[in-house]
Amino acid sequence: MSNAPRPPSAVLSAPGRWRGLAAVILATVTISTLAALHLLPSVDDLLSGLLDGANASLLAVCSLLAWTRLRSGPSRAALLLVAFFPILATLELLRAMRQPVLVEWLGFAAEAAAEATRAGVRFWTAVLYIALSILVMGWRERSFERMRSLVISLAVPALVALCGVMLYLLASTEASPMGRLASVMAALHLALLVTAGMLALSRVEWGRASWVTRSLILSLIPQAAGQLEQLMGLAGLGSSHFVAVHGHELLAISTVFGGLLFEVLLLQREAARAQEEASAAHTVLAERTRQLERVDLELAETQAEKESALARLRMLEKAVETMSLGVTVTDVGGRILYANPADARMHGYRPQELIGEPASRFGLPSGAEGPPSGGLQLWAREGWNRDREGRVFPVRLISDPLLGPDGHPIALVTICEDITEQKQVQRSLERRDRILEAVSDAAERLLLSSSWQQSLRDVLGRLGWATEVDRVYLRQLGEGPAGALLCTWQAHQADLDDSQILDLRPRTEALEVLGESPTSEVAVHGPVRELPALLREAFERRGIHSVALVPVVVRGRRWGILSLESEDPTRTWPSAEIEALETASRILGGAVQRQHAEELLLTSEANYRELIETANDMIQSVSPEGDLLFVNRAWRETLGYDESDLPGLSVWQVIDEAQHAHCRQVMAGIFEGGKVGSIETVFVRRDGARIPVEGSLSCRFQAGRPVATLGFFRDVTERHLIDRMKQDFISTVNHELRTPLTSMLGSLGLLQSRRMADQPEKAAELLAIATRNGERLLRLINDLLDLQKMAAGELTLKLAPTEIGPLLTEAIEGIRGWADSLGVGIDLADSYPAARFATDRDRMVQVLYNLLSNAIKFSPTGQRVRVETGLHDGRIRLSVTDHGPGIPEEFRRRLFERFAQADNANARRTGGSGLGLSIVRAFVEQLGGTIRIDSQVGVGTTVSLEFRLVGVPMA
Amino acid sequence: MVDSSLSRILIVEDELDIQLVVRFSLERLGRFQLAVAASGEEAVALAAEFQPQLILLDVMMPGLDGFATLGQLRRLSGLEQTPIVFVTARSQAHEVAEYEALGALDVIVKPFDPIGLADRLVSLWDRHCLAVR
Repeated sequence: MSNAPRPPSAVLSAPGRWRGLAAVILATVTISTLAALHLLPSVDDLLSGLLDGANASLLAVCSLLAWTRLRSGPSRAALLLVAFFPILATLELLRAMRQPVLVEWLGFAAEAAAEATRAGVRFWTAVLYIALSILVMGWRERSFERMRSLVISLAVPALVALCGVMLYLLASTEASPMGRLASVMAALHLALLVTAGMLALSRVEWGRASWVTRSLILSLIPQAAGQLEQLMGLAGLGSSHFVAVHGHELLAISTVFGGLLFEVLLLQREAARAQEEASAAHTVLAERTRQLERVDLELAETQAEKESALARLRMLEKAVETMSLGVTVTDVGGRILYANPADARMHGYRPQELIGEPASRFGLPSGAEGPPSGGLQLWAREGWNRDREGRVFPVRLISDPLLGPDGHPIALVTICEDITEQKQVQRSLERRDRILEAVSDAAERLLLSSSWQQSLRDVLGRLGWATEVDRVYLRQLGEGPAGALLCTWQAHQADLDDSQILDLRPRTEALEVLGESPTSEVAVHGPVRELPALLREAFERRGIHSVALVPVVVRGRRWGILSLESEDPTRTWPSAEIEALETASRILGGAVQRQHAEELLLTSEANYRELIETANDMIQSVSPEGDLLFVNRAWRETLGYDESDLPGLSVWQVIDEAQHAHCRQVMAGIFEGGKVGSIETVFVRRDGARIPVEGSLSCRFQAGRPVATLGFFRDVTERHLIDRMKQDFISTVNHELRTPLTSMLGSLGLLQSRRMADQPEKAAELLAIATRNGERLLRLINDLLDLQKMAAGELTLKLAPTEIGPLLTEAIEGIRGWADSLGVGIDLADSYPAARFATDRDRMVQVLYNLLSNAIKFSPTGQRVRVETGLHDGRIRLSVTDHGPGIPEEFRRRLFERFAQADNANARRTGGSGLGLSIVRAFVEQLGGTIRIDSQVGVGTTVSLEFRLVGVPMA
Repeated sequence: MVDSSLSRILIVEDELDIQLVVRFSLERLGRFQLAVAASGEEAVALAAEFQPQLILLDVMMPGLDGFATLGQLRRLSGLEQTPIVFVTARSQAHEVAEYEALGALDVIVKPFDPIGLADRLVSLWDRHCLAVR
């Protein structure tokens, strides 16, 4: 009854359960202790209560453990067993609590009943022990059936024997019935304990049994000893001392607890070790799993590669079959093992026809051939292959030997490419490069040379060489049907001379071919047979079969045609070449245009320079500082400088100092306003002479700053002189008209007065004055008109062969009266030449009259004027000599000017208008004669006239 | 010393016809005492003796012209202040102004009115006398 059955320790692993267990034990012990203390029992009662409490708690623990265990695998025995635990525990508790109370209150009856109950309880406890033992052992053996048979065969005889002993003992004892019953029960209990121990020992292999089993079995001994002690006590044979009885119980419980604890510790250690092992095993397992996965992956990859390689192989096969390059495989003997369709097609065969043929038949390399180096690596080269028709075409070959496992070649794979087109393209590209080079060269030449004509032959030559044509012409379109052939180049010397070419290509046809637009720079090219008939014949006659006609456009007009001609009918003109040729044409056009523009510019500049240089005005360009930058010829000549004097010459050296202030003012105004300003100033010639000038000044600005003044000046010396002369003329005419008018009007005025009427002689004199002066006025007016007519070229002469004599006589007679009045005589030779000369009679008389009048006028009173005539070299000469004051040297220059007088202008003598000599000279020259004046101051003057005689040829 | 009335007049004129017209026009009144010179030189020779009260002087003459004659006449004693009247055919304004600047009492431009000449001279003379006083 004090021993509690034990479930396996596996369920006790959790610390929480240990804590729950401890709590139950503590609670039970505390309750029983408090109950015992409360009732103040004896020491025996106290100890008994404590032990009963401990027993109750042990049972409670066992009940708890069994219950947890049952949940994982219940059996009927186990259920039965477990059902008793709470009952037993309750009973033990009740016992611990009420024992002293029941003894006191109920007395013996109650004590007997309690004793009976205790006996029953012990019985059942013994049953329980046995069942527990069997259970524990069976657990370990996992063979419950065998265990049961063992119990039946061993336990029953033992129990019967024990019961017999007990009954005997009871019968021999004098005891109450209740005591006897208790004794029987104790005996039974003892029998049960013994049976259980025997059964256990027979079944258990001690060395391998667990510590729980061992402790359970060992606890049977104190249990049995306790029962025996009790039984003996009941029977009165022994001291049924309480301590002795309960000491056994205490020992049994302690043993079981000790075994249990030890087992638990052992199991715990094992569990930890098992867990470690499980963990290690788990690690190993994970590692193995990973390895397996890896192996799986590798296997999958290998499979994919294999499939992909197969696909690639199929792809390559397809590619080789469909590629445009020829592929052949030849064996070491040079026989074809395989040829792809492209290769067969290239050579004009079907693939099957090539198998087994020697590759050398097609110019293909055989497997026997090796690379030039003798190695076994891939090699490439270009060569010529032959097709079925025997046509030879260029190929590019790439061969690669296939090596066997021993490293020797077993076959040769050759890729064959027909490079006919490539070659053509390459050739065309090379030609284009050459053309572009030629164009670039042409551009350089044309740009560098000042005249495009000079480099034209070289340019055409380069173009012809680059384009590989036979002839190149440059034709300028002009008036003629064929235009002007500017330059020719021929690949073969002396093919045709230029004259043959000139009439060959009608211009209109060529223009038609080139299209309507004159600005088009697009070339026409192609075989000659596609050209219009006339043009085609012209070309074909010369053996030309392919041409390129490139227009040359200058300033938006078709200026000429560049013609490239080839005798090769297959000559094509790729667009790259044509573009290059058009570029060449544009460059040529540009050069022509540039030169044209340059020529125009030069011409224009020369024109302007010439204009400025030859201008009569003085033109100068002066820097703002006053340095002369440029002057024209008129400037230099007027001011007496050479061009070499110009550098370093300042304009202020040329301007009269008195004018500097004024000029600076004018120039400052021009610099500010920039307007043209007119200016009058005085220049100083190199020799110091002052020259009045007038002109205009303008200023040229660059970036808002004056860079030069430009001046136009005119020498106004002459004009000033003319102005003065004009003034003098008017003044003189005024005077000359008023003088006779004064006499006329004065005398007429006097005549009107009555007093004059009374004096007839005075009146007559006044009338004579009026008449005379009227005539003088008329003469003056006539002279003026004559001068005017001569100046206007309107003088009409009535020329007739005339002798000099009558004219002279007439003139002298007309003036003799006036000469006499002045006391001047006239000498005339008696005879004069009878020769005749062509003259206007009236004008000639006027000339003679003027000369005589002059001579008389300047002759002092009493002197004589001599008139002489003579013949000389087929000319008649007439001279009038006076002994007057002579003409001063400085006056001789102005002698023939109108109104000229040697003396002061106010110093006049009668009748001198100053018109005489100018009229004389004008008439004489009109009449074809010459006039000459010899004079010596203080001695006299001789005026001579000469006229050619009639019938005498000109000298 | 200025005479109260004009009587002695010197006429200097190279044009004989004009000389005659001037003389006739002044002689008509019969109150003048006239001297006539055909040139500047002649006038200078005459003037010192004649001591004219007024001189009619032609400008344009051969030899000594009017201005030169004037210069010489002024150097003669008694003629330093004698009023001079230029007679000229040069009628333009600038020419007239030029003569007046030379100290002429007046300038008579040809052609002149022969009838009014004497009156004009007399009035000039009177004005001159007033001015001198």
